[in-house]
Amino acid sequence: MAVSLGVIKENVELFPGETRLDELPAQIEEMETLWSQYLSQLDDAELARVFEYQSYEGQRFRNTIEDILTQLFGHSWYHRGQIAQLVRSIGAEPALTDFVSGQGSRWRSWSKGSVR
Amino acid sequence: MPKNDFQETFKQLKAIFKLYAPKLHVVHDTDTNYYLDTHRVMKNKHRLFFGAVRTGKAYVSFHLMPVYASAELQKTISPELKKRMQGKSCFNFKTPDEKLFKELGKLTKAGFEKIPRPRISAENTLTMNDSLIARYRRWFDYEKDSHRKTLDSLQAVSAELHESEEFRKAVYLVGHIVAARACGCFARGH
Repeated sequence: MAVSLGVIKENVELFPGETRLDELPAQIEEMETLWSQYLSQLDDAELARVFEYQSYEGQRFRNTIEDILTQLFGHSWYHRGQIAQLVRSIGAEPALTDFVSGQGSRWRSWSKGSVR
Repeated sequence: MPKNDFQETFKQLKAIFKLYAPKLHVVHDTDTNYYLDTHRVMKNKHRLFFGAVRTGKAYVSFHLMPVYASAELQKTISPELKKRMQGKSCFNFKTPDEKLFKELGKLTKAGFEKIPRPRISAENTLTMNDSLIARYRRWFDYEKDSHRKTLDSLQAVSAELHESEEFRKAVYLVGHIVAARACGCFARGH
């Protein structure tokens, strides 16, 4: 079952059968541009909006946009973990994508004493 | 007028709250329970309860938390509506009552306006939801960074491994993450 915020992009194949590595950079860039625009306009009213949707099986659900945004971040985290495991399983080096070692990490700043 | 009409009573009482739902957090929305919290998070980490309509065995109950918290609001309640009160913030009905529901509508509006405003954060600029919105934006910056690193790690895998099932699945999963983001979708339970 899939749900859609209905605000990002239409006609996207959620389970792309054949994905080519060389196609990914452009896809990522396009998606990031759309999401950056959406997040830049995010406000209290949008966060609290109750979003109704129907599953492929016909069941109806209701969630707030806040819930769905949180779910989407969780979705990405979950699959990045799988990707790292797959890369490691073939003897290659997975990406280090821990939040605390990523960009703008407050942990690093904390250790330097620059953040309260 | 039938002696009991819980279904219509619930519907009309729910309609009073529904006006404020876009600005509140809908916790439950079923045929017998419509439950709203404010966005204010208390010290116990729970959201501040605003109100609810619940169908019970004997009554349909309209709970309005601001009445409990405000002596000023309590003073405005008419003697007729007070007769419907149980405890300090609950009003019970068996059938719709146009006059009293109108009064409840006004009481709910006054109660909504009494919701404590979010405290100003240390930066003196951010409201509670602003902080949440800022967090989503920060998480997305982090996600973008992770995309770069994940892509780099896949591009660094030697070409002879590109046909392996594991590598193809890893590439597919990046495509799936991007697709889910691109359409604002996720697969439930996937």
